[in-house]
Amino acid sequence: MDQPDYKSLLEQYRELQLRVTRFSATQQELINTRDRLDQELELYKRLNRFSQDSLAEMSTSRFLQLVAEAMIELLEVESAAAILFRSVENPEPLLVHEGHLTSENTSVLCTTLNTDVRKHAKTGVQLLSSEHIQTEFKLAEFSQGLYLAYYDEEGDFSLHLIALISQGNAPLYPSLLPRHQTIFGVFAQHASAILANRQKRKQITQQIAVIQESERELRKLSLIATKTKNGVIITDNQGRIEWVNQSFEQTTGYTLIEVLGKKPRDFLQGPHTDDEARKKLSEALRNKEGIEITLVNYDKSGRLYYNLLEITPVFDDAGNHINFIAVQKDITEETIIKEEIIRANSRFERIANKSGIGVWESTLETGALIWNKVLAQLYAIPPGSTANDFRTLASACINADDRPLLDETMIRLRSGEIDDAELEFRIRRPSDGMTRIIYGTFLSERNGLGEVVRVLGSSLDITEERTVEERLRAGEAKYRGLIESVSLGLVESDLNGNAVYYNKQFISLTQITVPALLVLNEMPELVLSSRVSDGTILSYTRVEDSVFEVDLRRKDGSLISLLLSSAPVLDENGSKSGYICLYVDITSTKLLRKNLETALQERDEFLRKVNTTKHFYESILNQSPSEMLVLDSSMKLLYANQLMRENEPLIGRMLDLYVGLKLSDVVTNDERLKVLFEKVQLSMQLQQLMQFEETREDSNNQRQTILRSILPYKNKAGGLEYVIISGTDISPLKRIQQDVIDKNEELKKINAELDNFVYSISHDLRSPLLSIKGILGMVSEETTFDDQNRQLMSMALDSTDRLDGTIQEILDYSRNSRTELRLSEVFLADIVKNVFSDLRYAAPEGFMFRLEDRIKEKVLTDNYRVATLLKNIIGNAVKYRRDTIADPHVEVVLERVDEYISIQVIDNGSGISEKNVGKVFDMFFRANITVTGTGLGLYICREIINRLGGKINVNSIPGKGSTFTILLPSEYDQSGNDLMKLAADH
Amino acid sequence: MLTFHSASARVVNSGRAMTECLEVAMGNSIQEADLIVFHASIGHDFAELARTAKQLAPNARLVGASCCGVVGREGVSESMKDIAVMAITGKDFVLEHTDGIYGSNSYEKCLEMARRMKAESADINMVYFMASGIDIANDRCIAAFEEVLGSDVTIFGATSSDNMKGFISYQVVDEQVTQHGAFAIGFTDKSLKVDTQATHGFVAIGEPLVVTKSTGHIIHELNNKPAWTEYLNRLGLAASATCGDTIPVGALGEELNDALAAEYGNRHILRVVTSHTGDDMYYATDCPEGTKLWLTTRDEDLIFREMAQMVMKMKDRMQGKTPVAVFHADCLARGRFLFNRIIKEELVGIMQTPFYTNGECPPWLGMYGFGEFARLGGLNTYHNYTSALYVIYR
Repeated sequence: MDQPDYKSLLEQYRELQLRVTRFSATQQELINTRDRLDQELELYKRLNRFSQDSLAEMSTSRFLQLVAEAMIELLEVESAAAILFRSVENPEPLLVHEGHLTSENTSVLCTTLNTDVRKHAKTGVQLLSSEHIQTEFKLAEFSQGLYLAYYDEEGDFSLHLIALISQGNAPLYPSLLPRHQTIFGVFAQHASAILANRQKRKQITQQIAVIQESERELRKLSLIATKTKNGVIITDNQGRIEWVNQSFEQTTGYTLIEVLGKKPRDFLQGPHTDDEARKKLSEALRNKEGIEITLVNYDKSGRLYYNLLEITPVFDDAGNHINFIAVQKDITEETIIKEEIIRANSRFERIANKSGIGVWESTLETGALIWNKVLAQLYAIPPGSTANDFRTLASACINADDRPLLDETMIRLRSGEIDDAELEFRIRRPSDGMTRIIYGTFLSERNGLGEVVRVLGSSLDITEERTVEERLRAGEAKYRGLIESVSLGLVESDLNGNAVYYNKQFISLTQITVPALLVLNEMPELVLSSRVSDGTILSYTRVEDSVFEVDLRRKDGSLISLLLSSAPVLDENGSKSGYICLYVDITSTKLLRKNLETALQERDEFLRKVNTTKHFYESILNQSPSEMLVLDSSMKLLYANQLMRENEPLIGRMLDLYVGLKLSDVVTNDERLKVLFEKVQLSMQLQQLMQFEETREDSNNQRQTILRSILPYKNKAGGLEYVIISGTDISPLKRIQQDVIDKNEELKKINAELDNFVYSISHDLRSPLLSIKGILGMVSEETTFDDQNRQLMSMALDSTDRLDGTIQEILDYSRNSRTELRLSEVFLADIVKNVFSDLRYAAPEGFMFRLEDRIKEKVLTDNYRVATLLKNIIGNAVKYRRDTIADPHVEVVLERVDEYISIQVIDNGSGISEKNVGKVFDMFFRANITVTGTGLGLYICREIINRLGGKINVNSIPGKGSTFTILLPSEYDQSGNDLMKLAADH
Repeated sequence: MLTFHSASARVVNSGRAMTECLEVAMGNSIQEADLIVFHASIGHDFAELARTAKQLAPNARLVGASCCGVVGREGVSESMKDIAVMAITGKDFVLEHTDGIYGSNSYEKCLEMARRMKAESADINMVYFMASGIDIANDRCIAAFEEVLGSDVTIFGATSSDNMKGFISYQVVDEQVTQHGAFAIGFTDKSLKVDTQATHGFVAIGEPLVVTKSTGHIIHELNNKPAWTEYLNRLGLAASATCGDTIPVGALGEELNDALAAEYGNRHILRVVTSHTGDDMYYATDCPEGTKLWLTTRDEDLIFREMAQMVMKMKDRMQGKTPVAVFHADCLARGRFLFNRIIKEELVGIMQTPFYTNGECPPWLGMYGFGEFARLGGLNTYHNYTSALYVIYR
């Protein structure tokens, strides 16, 4: 036997291992198969449960919900929808969805499906692909689905079922299998069949309900027909009686047996039956139409009665005519009463027509409205108009302002709130367009229950009466109003002077309260009699025969002047029956006249004074060393003084020759005057003083410089009144001015040279000085020196230091004035720290340097100048410290203040006395002579600050300390012009 | 003091499903619920479930997760429309949640949650943890909780799932629905204790696959070959097979030491692969190179025997106390795709009946998910392919 080699064994082992592991996969297949069988069993159970549930009584929407849920249960899909279109024509679907479908999804689905229900219904179960679902059903996000539509022609409904899965929501199955189609198809048929049965069952139930309802109705009708007080006749389609009720028998005296098979006309109609009515009835019956008509009939005893007959043809469901049903009512009594009312109404109407009274009557229940001819004429109602026509036409005639009251009255009458009313209202009569005034009366009529059943009324045209009354009232009011409104006093008296009328103004003017005491025996004298008890006539003057001026002292002591005019009153026969007196207050007129006279006198006096003043000022102006010319606001030449006339002969001549000449007329071709004219125009326009210089040649041909001033002179109200032009010869002044300018230029040149000299000297001096300092320093290190020599060396070094300091300051000053600004972005804190560092060894131990930087960012400034500035000020703080206090210090605070950079240097040193504070920035000023110094430091500071365009301020308390506040601009332009401007402002 | 009330149902409409469960669980006292925990199979509309629960119990906090099926007092159900609810009254709990949890950040996310929980209460004695079942490193989650709360605090719960497709899983906290979220309930009722244990009943077969290249929980190579291809090859499945195809037959076992094997009743602890990208397999825990992974096969006798043994052990540990509630997590691979309905019901009967009191099942909330948490050898441990019971007693 061959021994298997190792390799072969290993291969076999691996093969075996694979078989072993794969056995579990095979085993799983078996389990799956077994599980599927179990699932199918479960499936049938679920289907059975659906069948049982769906057979229960429920609404259609609940049934559809059950269907949707069953689809999910049976197919284990994630979403399902059931949609029912109840008829092909009805576009409104009944829709139920379950799972991850949204209402929007299904709404689109409905619209899509409804486009062609039958097309979808023919296709059977469809397995929908993702693309199909998206394009056909407009549903995104689903990967597969099943769809079936069922159309029931008999029930005219279609049922659409759709079941969907998507990859995203992890379906139980990655894809739907054929068995799912089978299950879906079976279920869909099952559900459709149940739905069809439900629909049929519903229809049958509805039909049974209709029949039951009909039976109930029939029973009720039968009862009504039997028991009603009206006679009821049922005939066949030929009009032969099949049945009559008890009431018919009572009314006519005929029994059912007697009339069975007969036609009613054969025994009910008689000689007084109206032929016209009879024809109408026959025609309606022939045409199988319903009719309501009143006929004169006869009962069995031969009694005539009025029969209100309502006949209705009856048709079966197929539309065949099978019966007539007639309901008759004996209306004999009502007819007689009605005819009597008509006759009474007719009589009443005739009376109303004769007296021109419009009459109308409205029945509320029927809306019927009747009116007589008068109203018809008044409102232009054409014959044959209906009630509505009348209301429309009459309403259109009524004045819009009066209509609301009229409408309200009608409403109150109709509602029973009032029983009658009277109103006047206006209408526009259509026949002639005239406005007429109508007096209307309104009445309501109630029935036995107290309900308003009828409203009636009358209308009477009272326009003429009202017009006359109105005119009379208007005339009287006008007359009275006129008398009361005039400012004249008026008294009407009888022949004995007893006042029969007086107006309020008379009382107001005279304060005479009892005008009856004015006895006028004769006109007009006695009116002035002293018998005026309420006042005193001081004087009077006859102006004309019956016109007087009277001065009267009134009851309150005041004076009044009256102009009195009287005239007799004549009666119808021309005889004098009394007097009318008019009183006019002329107090103010008299006062005015007097004032006028005074004013005229004052005017003359004023004119005299003005002329005197004018001459005085003219003489002054003529003595003035300046030329003066005055224009008015329209630039007319008004005045020129003597000097102006002499120096500007053209103006002088023009003034003498023409009155009202304007400056523009004088200008002509003279260039100088043209300039003057333009300047005057500008000055007037700007309304401000304007000055300019001009040159001219005098009478000796010498060149003159004239300073012209143009002053627009305004009155108190601000209006331009005059323009005053003056001219002053400034030729000598100009010459002096030129001298000054020349000398100033010379001085500047000398100063500049001096600056250069100082700078050069200082610079040149410093080099050898520093050499001397160095040598002295080395020599002072010599150890062989005795104390005296060492002291001398120390003094020599101190003096050299002071001299170097002085030269340094002179150089600083010189640099500041000589060099341009060098602006750069710098941290101020860095500059301060450097200064602190430089000065640290100049201060004793324990002296504190503090910095508070609130800016913390770069600022634009001249680094060198600011360093020099701070070195001086902080150096002073160190120099003038107080060693006797516990915490000698200097503090620098940096911050932004508005548009400035603020640097505050605060120390607690010896301070500056009040008298010296103002001088510390002066050159060579030294407030404290106990400490060495040149007196140049703060002077240089001020110059630097001026150069930087900043400000410096010092507050100091002797013995407490000083605060120097420096404000530097935070912005500069490239040229530095702003800097200079700022400096100038400061 | 916490009280527990449960119910489960199979109702297609999500709103009605939640309503029915809460009505059965709480009767007329739904509004008294302080915390509602639910599991629902993937076919449900989770937003609708949350809305309905909030409407019915506006004062209650709500947490839930998707699963492949549920187990309740009413029995087991696996369909697209299952739901099980545990409604709890009482304030003795803290609830924290997170979103955006993946394998790469599982530790950090859980650490944050654990810290927040501890900040809320220092009395947490057990944690019910539920996370996304897709791309998560569960052992890292355990490590994070233990770091903050200590290893004495028992972590029990599961990972949420879909229908074993490995596409998606949902988590719900109040009305927020997430796909990569996690939540943790820290129970602070000191009168309560929890006992946990898991069992699977699988047998390792053949030679192990050796992890030759891995990063964290991602296995790149097995036996020096591309991992996923080698895995499918050993299973005899086509290259087109999905995770859903491998889960029922592809349980991977890691060998336990003797002590743990004795407690576990099995030599191997099982792991599942829920996702793969190309040849990279997403393992459920960290998987260092050199780890040996055995393919396994189920043994029905062993499954039943181990289940009975586990329940008896738990009963013994309870020492006669009455359970107030049982939470239960089962691997979905033990559900529809592994056992038929009858076997499942028998298994559930074995696990439920011993805990009955006076013939009545205690409040029970069980679900079929991707993985389970239960102590093993006294340590909080993550399992796959197991039935894990969390018996809470007082």
